[in-house]
Amino acid sequence: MIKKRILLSLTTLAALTLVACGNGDTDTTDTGDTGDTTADNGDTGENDGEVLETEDGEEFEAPTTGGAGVLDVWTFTDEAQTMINDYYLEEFSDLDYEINISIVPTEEFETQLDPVFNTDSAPDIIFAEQAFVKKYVESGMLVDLSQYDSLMDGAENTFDYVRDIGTQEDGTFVMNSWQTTPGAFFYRQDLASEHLGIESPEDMQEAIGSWDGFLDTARELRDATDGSVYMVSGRGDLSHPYYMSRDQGWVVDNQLIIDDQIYELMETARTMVEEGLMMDADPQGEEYFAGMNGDEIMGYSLPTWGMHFWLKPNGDQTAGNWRMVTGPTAYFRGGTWIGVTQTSDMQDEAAHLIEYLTTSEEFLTNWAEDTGDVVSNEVVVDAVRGDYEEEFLGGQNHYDAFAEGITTIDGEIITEFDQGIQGAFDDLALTPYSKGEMEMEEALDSFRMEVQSLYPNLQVD
Amino acid sequence: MATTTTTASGKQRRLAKRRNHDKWGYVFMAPFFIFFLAFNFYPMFYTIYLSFTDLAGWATEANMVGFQNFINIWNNQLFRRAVSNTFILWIVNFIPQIVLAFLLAYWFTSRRLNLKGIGFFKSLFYLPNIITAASVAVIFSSLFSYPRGPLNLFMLNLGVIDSPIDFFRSVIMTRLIVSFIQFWMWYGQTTIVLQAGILSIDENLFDAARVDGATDWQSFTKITMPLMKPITLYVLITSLIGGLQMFDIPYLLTGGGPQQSVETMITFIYKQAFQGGRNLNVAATASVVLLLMTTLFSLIVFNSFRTRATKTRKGVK
Repeated sequence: MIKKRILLSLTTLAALTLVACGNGDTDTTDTGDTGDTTADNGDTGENDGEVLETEDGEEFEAPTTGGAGVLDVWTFTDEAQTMINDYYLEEFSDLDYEINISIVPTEEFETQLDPVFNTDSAPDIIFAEQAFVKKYVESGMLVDLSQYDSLMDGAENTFDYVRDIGTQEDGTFVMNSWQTTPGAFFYRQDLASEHLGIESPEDMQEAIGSWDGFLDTARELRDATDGSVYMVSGRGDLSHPYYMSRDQGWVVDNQLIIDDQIYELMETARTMVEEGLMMDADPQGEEYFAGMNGDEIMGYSLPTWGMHFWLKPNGDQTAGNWRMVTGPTAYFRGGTWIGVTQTSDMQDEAAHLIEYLTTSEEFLTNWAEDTGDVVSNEVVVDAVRGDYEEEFLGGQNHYDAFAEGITTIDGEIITEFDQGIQGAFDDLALTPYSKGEMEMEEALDSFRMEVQSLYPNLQVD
Repeated sequence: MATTTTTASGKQRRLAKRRNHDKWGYVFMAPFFIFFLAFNFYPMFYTIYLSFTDLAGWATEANMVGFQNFINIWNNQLFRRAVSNTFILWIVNFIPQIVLAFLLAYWFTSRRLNLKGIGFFKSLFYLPNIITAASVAVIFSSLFSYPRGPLNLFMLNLGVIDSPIDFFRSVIMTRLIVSFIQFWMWYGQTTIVLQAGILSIDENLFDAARVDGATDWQSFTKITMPLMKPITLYVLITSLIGGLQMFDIPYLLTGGGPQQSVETMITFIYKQAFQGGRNLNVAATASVVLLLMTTLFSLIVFNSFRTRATKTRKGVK
């Protein structure tokens, strides 16, 4: 009898946890609390906060705020740590306050920041990347940077598009960046000579300078190799150039805009899948990265940082064989902006840091020389662009080639809705249409439905 | 409680002591009520309050908008799809689950079969439930991955298929995989609960049936099944509540895709609250609708069991 009872109570217990777990799932996500664990003397870069997990189970420390007398910086890139610790604090070693940097993985950044944004628990400085920068810019809860004269003087030389993206619709300038992120088409010179008889980047650019030329070259490549070499990895190599060649952003006057270029993108992607011109690997998936070291993929569309963080580390065996050209259209992708929250009690100190990181010509020159990053200051870029030879690109001057693309970039088409809309577009329209699972209108309808659901106030049709 | 104290004073002392003990009851109950009030009661009513407001995005002040949110959600096609998806996924997982669980529970408790190593198999079947959902999702997404996942390679080598299948691009496949995972994670749990139910039935009934010449199947359908009604009801309702709240597996596996085929009510609520326009009001409204649906379906299930019970009793008379 006793045994039975124990068994019964155990199962009830287990069943209760079943119910409890079910409940838990809905709640855990927003309890990812930003516990103010560090006391007033919060140490720089040393957080003993709680450990959280991303969706993929990757662990990270909960971001912290250090209270009064500590400048809190929340970012998702470890570049920020290098810039602050190795440059800013070297230059200004006698600051009478601490800088507390919290690095949160990009995919968790917003869920960590949003609940505390515009409260006393918010950090002083936030970093934001292209996908969601406009959300914070347009929030109206960032400090107007135009009140800082020296910062504005320095920002005179910041590329226009960089400032445009950091500016609210009403013209208030709230975020600035140290980098520009023009994109390019990276291709394998050895494969191009072997299969296409193209011997130089100039010839390549001539061949793929338009989308028609791009497709023709892809067909030529397929025919020459019996389909064993693909022009690109997949739709990810098409979408960013197409997005940036639109006339209008995703949303204009609260109305969802599906630009002609979007239709063209869908058609091009479908053509390339149907005719076997691209591998159709998922962007940033296993095959996508594996292709960088193999001989199956001719090229990738990547921005400045894509070359450093994705292509170089994954293409160690093909290093030296790569070249870069503009491709069918100039574009940019990504980029990180920095702003000061209005709830900050150290706004002047925060602005000082931003001024240094985004406008100091001395810092930007050092940074460009040390990392090869294409910086946001026109004067600096013009001064250093002649001096590069990239081994990985067989000695080609990537800096010069990237700098070429900056002036054509239009920041106006970035909107605060981009992240949600582009995610929905890729999932519900581009992917199923390119794979031939759905017809154009059907795909766009489910895309519109999702957008309407994500942003109920938008007019979608 | 055998006591031998008979003196009046002794009795009084004991009573006084008992009254003192009573107070401790409240102390021991307090933690539950404190947690319940702070983490269940308050959030629930706050959610109901939010469902009547327009709180979304960066807004910090909520304005009352009456039933507008409920009208909107009624017209929200994606939410409707999420509701039907949730039921499809739950039914496809629950029916095989309860059948298999009954079968296993029957085998485990059958004295005639007298299986060996029951404890071992019970733990084995319960194991999937212990693994966290995130790990399960990772395991299954790599198992079924395209084009070079283990399952695709295996089937290609066997010659079952000519070209790899992109499982997570197929609506039916993705739904089946999600349902299968839910089934696989929970059938062990259900088996144990059902087995506990069977074990709690008086052995004399089975003995009597056997004496009367009943077969195993007859005693199962005529004794076990009817007496298992309360525990089956319990399994059904807990599984229904769990099923309506299905979130982790569909969300981690495909994020609701392809073509919103495994978008469940909770993934809808999550996306509304934390992505896009961060529409807390919509998420709250959907949560209230979910609460109402859970209550309604639980009542229906509960009532259908009760009326059937009374009917059969009348029939016997």
